[in-house]
Amino acid sequence: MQFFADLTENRFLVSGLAAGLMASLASGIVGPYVVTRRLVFLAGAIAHIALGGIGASIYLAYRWPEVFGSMDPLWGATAASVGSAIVLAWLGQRAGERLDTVIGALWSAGMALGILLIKLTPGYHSELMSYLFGNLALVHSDHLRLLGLLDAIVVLVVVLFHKRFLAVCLDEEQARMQGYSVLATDTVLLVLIALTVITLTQVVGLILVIAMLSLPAATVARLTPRLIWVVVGSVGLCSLLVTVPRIAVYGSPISPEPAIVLSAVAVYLVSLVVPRVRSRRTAGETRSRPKIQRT
Amino acid sequence: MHPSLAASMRGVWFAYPARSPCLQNVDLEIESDDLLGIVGPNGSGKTTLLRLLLGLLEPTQGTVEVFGRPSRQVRTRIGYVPQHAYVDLSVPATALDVVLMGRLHRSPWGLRFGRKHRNHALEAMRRVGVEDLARRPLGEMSGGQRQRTLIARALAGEAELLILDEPTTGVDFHAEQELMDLLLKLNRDIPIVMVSHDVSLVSAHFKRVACVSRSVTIHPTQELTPERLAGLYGGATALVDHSRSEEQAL
Repeated sequence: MQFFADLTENRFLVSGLAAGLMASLASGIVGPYVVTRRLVFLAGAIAHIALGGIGASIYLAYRWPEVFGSMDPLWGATAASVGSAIVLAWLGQRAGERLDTVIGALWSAGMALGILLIKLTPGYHSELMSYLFGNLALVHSDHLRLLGLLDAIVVLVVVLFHKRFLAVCLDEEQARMQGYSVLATDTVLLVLIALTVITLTQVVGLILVIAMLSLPAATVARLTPRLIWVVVGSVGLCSLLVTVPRIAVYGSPISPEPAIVLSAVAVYLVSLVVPRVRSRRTAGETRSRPKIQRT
Repeated sequence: MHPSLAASMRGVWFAYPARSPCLQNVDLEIESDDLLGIVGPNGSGKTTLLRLLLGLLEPTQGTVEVFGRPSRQVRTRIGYVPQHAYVDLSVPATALDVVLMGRLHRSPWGLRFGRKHRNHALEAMRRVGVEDLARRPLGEMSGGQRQRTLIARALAGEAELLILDEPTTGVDFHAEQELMDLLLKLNRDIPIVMVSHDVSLVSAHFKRVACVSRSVTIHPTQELTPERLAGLYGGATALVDHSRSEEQAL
């Protein structure tokens, strides 16, 4: 195929693939916790608030070029998304019923601030599109270094905190009885989500990050009853989703970034149609599955 | 504090912010071999009492001690068994994963629990009769099985006091009787406190009952008379005594 023939000549193809796989590691690991803890909406907010950080970086580089001129706007996005993660975790415990409205307010405020600051900066900002919609063709080595750093943090923190995340997902009260603060655990998890959002920015863009954080994990969760295997499976599925569509649309007018997201949606929809895999022991039993909402 | 006391509440008042007190001047002692039922109508303060014992709430006035210390400090020695409905069934976890969470404070880091912890968890599952379900996904268990799994979680943490919140809610009659038999068996080794709205269940199986209605009065179950219940629930209440052969509606 043309893609593999060009791979040896075009180093941007290689770095694009590498960025996709590095983002898959972070999003494959963090996605299952996002889905299990029902943080999809919060993750969406964090991703969109990151645009505020990008706008701020571009504006700061224009106003004070000697200080911020060489700073990659992804660092601004990182600061905004991590900051918003901490605020959102705190609000999650405080805002009660109005939480979704408050999240909506921060979500739009972050984006609006980003647009405002970019408009205040003279010039045409073509790179903005690549943050919003991803750009696998223009990943350079600085980005790969940042992705590597973020991946290392995500892996390390999840290895340390996995059991606490599971405890809080299962039963918050019991986690408290064991001496672990739900707020602290959620804060760690939301900061990991913020870092993962940054890894995905170049791959699918801030607007579509939410797809990669939720759909592969939700797909794999239908196949195995243990969170740790959902994590392993979703890293695998994310890796396939960022490479196969990329290769498939190469040379065609279709952009790889939306192709990746649409593939994730398609795989998820197929998994909904295929009946959920049950453990062998209970496969023959007919039972009703009570749906109990937590109060 | 008396050495044989598992827990005590002395002169406890509790009010949620900007509300009138929902518990007034509660004195309660839980002995080290106790099997205490806590009953009362909805909104009487049963759950508040339980959360005070667990150290999840602090009394407005008075002291709550468990094993002679403020309950907050000894939370990990208390086995708390919530209603099975409070556990999120959509979480991808097996029964063994749930039971292992009882040992989280002994092994908080890392991706998995070591063999020693797994053996403790499996032994706890055996004690409550769900060892065959270790690999069963949480969402594929019946209400009774989930409730037993939650009791196993408390036992796996080597709890020295079991506190159960309405464990028979949403559980069928047969499973309810089995659950009571299990609690009686466990009570040989460990004090048990159970909150229930089901007075007849408590009176049939338990040694003592604490009737909560803002204040708390404690009776041995054989002294639970219709008048006392009427005073508690504010109306006619049927009490069925299972210890006799003919059912006797009082």
